[in-house]
Amino acid sequence: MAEDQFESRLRALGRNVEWPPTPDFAIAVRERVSPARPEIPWWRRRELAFALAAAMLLAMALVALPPTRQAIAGWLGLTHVTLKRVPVLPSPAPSSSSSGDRKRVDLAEARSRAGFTVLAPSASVRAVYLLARPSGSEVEFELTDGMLVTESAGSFDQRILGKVIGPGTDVSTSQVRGRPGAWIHGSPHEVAYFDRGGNFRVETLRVAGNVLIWEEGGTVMRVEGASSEAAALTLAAGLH
Amino acid sequence: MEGRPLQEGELVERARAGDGRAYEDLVRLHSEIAFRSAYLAVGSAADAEEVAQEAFIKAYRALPTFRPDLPFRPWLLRIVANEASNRRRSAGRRAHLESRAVNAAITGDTAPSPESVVEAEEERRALLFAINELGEEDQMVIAHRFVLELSVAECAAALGCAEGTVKSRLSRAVGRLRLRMKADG
Repeated sequence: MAEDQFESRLRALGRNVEWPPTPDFAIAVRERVSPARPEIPWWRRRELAFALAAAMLLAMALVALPPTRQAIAGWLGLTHVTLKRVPVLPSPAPSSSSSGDRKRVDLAEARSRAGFTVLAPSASVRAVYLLARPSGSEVEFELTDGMLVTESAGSFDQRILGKVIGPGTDVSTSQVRGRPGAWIHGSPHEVAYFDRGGNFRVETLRVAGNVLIWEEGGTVMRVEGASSEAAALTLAAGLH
Repeated sequence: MEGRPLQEGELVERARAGDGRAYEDLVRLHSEIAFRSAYLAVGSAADAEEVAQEAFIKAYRALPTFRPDLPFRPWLLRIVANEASNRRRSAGRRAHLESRAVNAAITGDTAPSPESVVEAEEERRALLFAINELGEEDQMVIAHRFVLELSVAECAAALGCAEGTVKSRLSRAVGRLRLRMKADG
């Protein structure tokens, strides 16, 4: 075989070599070489997203609450919840009910399948629902008086729930069953969930009215639709 | 490839001025060749990714010393080779080249017969086997020149030697490969 033919074979061979796929590290390189990173979307960096959420939480607390250290510390007691204040709510309300894999169950089934200790309201319950969320399961109690009790669980160090709060919604600290909580009231606000990667899933937003929210044993507890904080606290106190 | 040097030159200029986006584009333009050259040197995709990424970081820091009238790729490949050398020595691995699976879905009047496709595939496998059996220096020069299709100047940069050395090494390596192929029948 002539020399150039052999080299031609070698070149043809090069086009048929099975290479490992080339990883895309261009963004990683840019992030490492750029001293300032204004163009990085916050949702691409989980740590940055959490830091931003914490900053928003502090900013919100300073706006909505008496600016005392005690009040801010009370807010930060909600380790599974991120509160985010925005100038305009990002989307219209799709519905007042939760999206996701939602199944009507009875209390016994909810307790056996939820994977966490489910507390039931003392008030009259119209329906119980079990939902599968990316972060974990969720149990909803729909009460006959229109109120809603929701219990969401996930791993202990995980963000489970987000609240997106626009103008006209007030937030104040509360004590619920001896634990720090928040009373979100006024104009409706929106609810979001975190996926398994810790990303804020804005597409799962739904509108919620007045909400009393607190954490109990790693579970995020909510009482929605109460006309007053006192009514919500009464309902919360009866959970068993 | 008209237009590419100008585009690359512009990207280099912007990156030198601190434009991170321009450098990201430049990285994307050369990431495949940098990764594959690193893979040939270190023999592991994970190590090759780290080598290529570190090489791009070092190249960015060294951009003020880069002459913009020269092509970027050989300069980058030199940095990749430097970055790979320590890792190659510590890992003691070599790349093992493999043939891509044949696409059997080719049809039509001009399509090769199944027998000729299989024959060509067997030839490729035999050639790759022979290359993998060569000494490291021979394998590296053949892989960079023919498999990666780099110019002699780029090979010199990637292998850290003079162009004349590339030519002489290549001549010897191809000769040894031909002998091995003849011996294997």
